[in-house]
Amino acid sequence: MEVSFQDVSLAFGEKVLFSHFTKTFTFSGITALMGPSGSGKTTFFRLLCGLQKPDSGAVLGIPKTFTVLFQEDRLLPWVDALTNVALVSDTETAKACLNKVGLSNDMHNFPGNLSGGMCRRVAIARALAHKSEILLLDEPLKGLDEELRAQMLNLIKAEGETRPVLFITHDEREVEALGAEVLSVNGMPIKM
Amino acid sequence: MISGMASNPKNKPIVKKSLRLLLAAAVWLLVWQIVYSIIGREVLFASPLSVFQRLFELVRTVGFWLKTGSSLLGITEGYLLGVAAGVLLAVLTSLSDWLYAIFKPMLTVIKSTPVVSFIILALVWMSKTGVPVFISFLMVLPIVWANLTAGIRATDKNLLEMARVYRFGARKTLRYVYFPSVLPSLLSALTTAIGFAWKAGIAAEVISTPRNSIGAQLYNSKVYLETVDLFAWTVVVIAISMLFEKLIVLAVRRIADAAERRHAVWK
Repeated sequence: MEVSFQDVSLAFGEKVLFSHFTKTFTFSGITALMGPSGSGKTTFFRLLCGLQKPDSGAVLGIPKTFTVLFQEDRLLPWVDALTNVALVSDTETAKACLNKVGLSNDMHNFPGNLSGGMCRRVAIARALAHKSEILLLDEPLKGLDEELRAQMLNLIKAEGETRPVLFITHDEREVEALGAEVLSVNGMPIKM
Repeated sequence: MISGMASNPKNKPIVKKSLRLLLAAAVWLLVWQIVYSIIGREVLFASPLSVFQRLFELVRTVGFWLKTGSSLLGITEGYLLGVAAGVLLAVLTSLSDWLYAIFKPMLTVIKSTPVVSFIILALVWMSKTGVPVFISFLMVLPIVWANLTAGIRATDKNLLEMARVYRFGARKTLRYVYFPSVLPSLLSALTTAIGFAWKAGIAAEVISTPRNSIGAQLYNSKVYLETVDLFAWTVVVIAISMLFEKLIVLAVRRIADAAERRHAVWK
């Protein structure tokens, strides 16, 4: 999959994130997006899938279908875990994905009755259940303990064999475990 | 049986709530009786006993049901029309800032104009029976519109973006994101509007005196100094308004529960 940034400029007030940025990215397998906090990784994600429009320039090759695991879980609080996942797929796929993330016994619980880590796993299950051209994960393992991190990394690794996966992380061990290609975000405006 | 019920912990809150209600009613009846005893003249302030005796007489007449039914029908009609128009307008003005800018001044004018001005105008424009319907409609519309618009605008932008990314489509977004988000505002608007619809609707009836209406009875009571009747009909208005409010809350909850059960098919 190829996405091309053509002379892209984007600023939030005084903060200039992109200034006449031109580059073509080819995504296959798993790619890790790394860089310091506040360096514009999430904004890069949003530009990549069209959730953010540049001030000028263009992003070409935006995938028609994409899945985003946001930094926040963004679960619907008024429906249970299973419905949250089934809304983006079908019941069987949803159940299978919740099983994969170890929530087979909690699928009928509402997000308000789940711990932070469990909600994160529901969000991961929803992202896995949603079929699309590319999977974008923004700090997917935030708030999970070591054991769960290892389990989720395995799931992400398996997903990388079916569609391109791009994920934001600060942890080099995760990059190593996944054997991911690294894309570094540096400077302001961004250089990559 | 009775002892079994009392020992059931599930019944305790209901019993407690009923006792609290009874106590509150008893306190206010006592206050009413004390005020009456101080004034001591039925023509100025009716006693609770005479009011309930008169009420008992009234409910046994066909005329009572005819008048109550007629008022109930007219005000309910205005209320439902106001709710429908308020919902429609809230959706439209949420979709377009232009429409919002156009309709907002109109709704502000409706909210701040004294209701009696509208009643007098309505008397010029339409038949006596149409006035309470129109006035109830006019009172309900801005309340529903304002509450619902606030609810729609307060819908979590993150959830809306999530719905977009996961391709929910219009129906699912409406059902799973917007509807649950605006439900508390809608419920609050519907219950607040009932009181306003009744107060303004009855006021419209008092001024326009349509045949077979509670308002006309209130007017006659005033003209013939029948204070006991005035109190009795006022009790009727309060009772119907409270009952109506309960019914609306129940209906909205039923709708929400039905929607909830529908999503249970996923399980």
